[in-house]
Amino acid sequence: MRAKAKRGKAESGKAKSEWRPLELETPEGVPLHVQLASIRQRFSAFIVDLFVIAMLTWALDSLTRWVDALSAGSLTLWISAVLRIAGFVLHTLYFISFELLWRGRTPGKRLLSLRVVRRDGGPLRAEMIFARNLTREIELWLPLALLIAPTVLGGPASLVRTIGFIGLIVLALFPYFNTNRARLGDLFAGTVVVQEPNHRLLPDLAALSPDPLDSSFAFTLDQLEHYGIYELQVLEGLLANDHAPEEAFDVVVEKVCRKIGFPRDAVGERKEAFLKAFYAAQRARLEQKLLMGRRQERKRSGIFRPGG
Amino acid sequence: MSARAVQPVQPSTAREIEARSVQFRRDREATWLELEEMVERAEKRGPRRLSAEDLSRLPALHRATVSSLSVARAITLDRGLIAYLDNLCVRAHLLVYGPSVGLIKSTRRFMSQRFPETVRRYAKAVAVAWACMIIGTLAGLALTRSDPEMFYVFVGKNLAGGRGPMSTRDELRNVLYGIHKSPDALAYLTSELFTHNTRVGFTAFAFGMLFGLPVFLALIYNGLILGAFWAIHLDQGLGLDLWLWLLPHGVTELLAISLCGAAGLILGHALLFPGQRPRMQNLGIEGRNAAVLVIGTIPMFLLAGLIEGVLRQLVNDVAVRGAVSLLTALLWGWYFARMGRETR
Repeated sequence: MRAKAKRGKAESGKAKSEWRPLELETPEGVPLHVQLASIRQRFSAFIVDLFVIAMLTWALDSLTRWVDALSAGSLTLWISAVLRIAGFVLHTLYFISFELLWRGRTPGKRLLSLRVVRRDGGPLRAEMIFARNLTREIELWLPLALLIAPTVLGGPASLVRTIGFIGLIVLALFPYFNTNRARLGDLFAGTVVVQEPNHRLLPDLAALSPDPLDSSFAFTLDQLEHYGIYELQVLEGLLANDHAPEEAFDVVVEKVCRKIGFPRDAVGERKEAFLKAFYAAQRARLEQKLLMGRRQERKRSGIFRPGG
Repeated sequence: MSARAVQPVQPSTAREIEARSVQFRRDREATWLELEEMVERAEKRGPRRLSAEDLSRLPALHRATVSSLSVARAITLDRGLIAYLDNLCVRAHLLVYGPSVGLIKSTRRFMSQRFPETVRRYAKAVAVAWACMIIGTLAGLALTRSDPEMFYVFVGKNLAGGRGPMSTRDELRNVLYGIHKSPDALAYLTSELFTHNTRVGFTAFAFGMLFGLPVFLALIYNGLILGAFWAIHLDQGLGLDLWLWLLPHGVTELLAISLCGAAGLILGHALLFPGQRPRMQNLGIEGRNAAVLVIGTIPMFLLAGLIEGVLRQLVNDVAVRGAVSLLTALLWGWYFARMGRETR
């Protein structure tokens, strides 16, 4: 039950560091993939959470001051006891309580569609949430305290400040130096932070369109021998992209026609319909080959010559 | 020439060779969409809002979709479809294998089994933590008795509360047996003690990240303070009275501190000595178990805070103080030794 993070391929179109899937083993034995959260996303979520904490602290403070201003009866002392506990929950248990209640999400993580999951894919448990958040005491608050108030511990202020600064930097950069982008607390808890999966099911590009005109594009088996899986999926990317520029279609139609020897004039202006029909036929052919155990990854070199 | 060239060129239309995966998808799509709708509802409004009918269908839908995914990976080249199924399966996985028991039930299970079991499992680490505290206490006692000025080295000003080697017997007695607060202030005092002590415990755990070294220091230092206090009271013949003042809440509190310290030591140990497992995996497992110890100390600190904040302020009777100390000691002794053990 170990998860490995694979380095993404440049072909995904995103920067290398952004795209990093994590493989989860499941009890069904089918590996699943989740997208690791980028460090920028995690940092933004953290800032949002800090903001929420600051706002709540401010609200609690003004409430406390208001209660204090009332005459000191027995009730106000009870109320300030409750406020005191509330302050403790806010400062020490903020991340823990939200991650417990919302299954691995805090307000910041929710806003950025992030989520804590277990590295080995099992259920997230309370002790993991505690382990990954209690370490913040050392990871963040202690170096910060050294930085802001170096005199508390005694010793020369500049030295203590330097230590606090180095500690903060080392711990903040920690996620850059491991494959799961784990914070130190994540290591102790065996957790990772991932992006919430939210892919939509798009219409099947290879399904036949009801328009009879589209079936006028017919391909011979020979014409379907040229391209491989890689080119097919690049074409899929183009067809699935709603914002693809018109020129891209021009270029691709031109290339495909030349490669497979399809008369360009027969396509005319129905470029997208042609590419869809070609995609459907090509996918059917390649999948058929796949069933026969032949996996054609790449296109064949050379240009189709009629009768050649 | 290749085999392909020998084949007669058959004109073949797209309609004749519609991909099998298209049919595959058409047959199963309804299942996926039903699962997706259910998962979405659970994500938005919480898994508890699913109806009984939904819950009975969920496992079947989940399994069917997972098997669709594994078939799709083998037969289709539609990358969008595979990504969608992969994604949907993850969402369903998080729902199906998410924590399922409610807060009350899981709390009960934790307190009656997981916590005492884990304490027993790490009895060695707890013993080391106790040893550190005891060594610290004895050292503090010996050092302060040989040189009373050492008291100020170990004990900070605000902790001393005006007490020191120069205090007279009456001054010390007044602290031990005086009523300092009006009963109404007790709730506030309790909450303050609880939050402060719990924070200290949490920090002790987090210190384990620095290879456990600060944990040793913190535990020993805690002992030194205790020993220094003991020394100045012993000089005035109040040694027993001091312990009877400390122990009613101290039994619980010192135990809780030792557990937090033990948790920190477990972290440090896991960092330094991974053992048989890969280091990362080992850290994950040990870290979780250490966290169990820390979680369990929260109610302990609460109890200690209650005793210290309420009982100690109201009761001056030595016999009651002794009885409470004994009672809590027996309670925790029984709890950690017997609770959650399988009876055979």
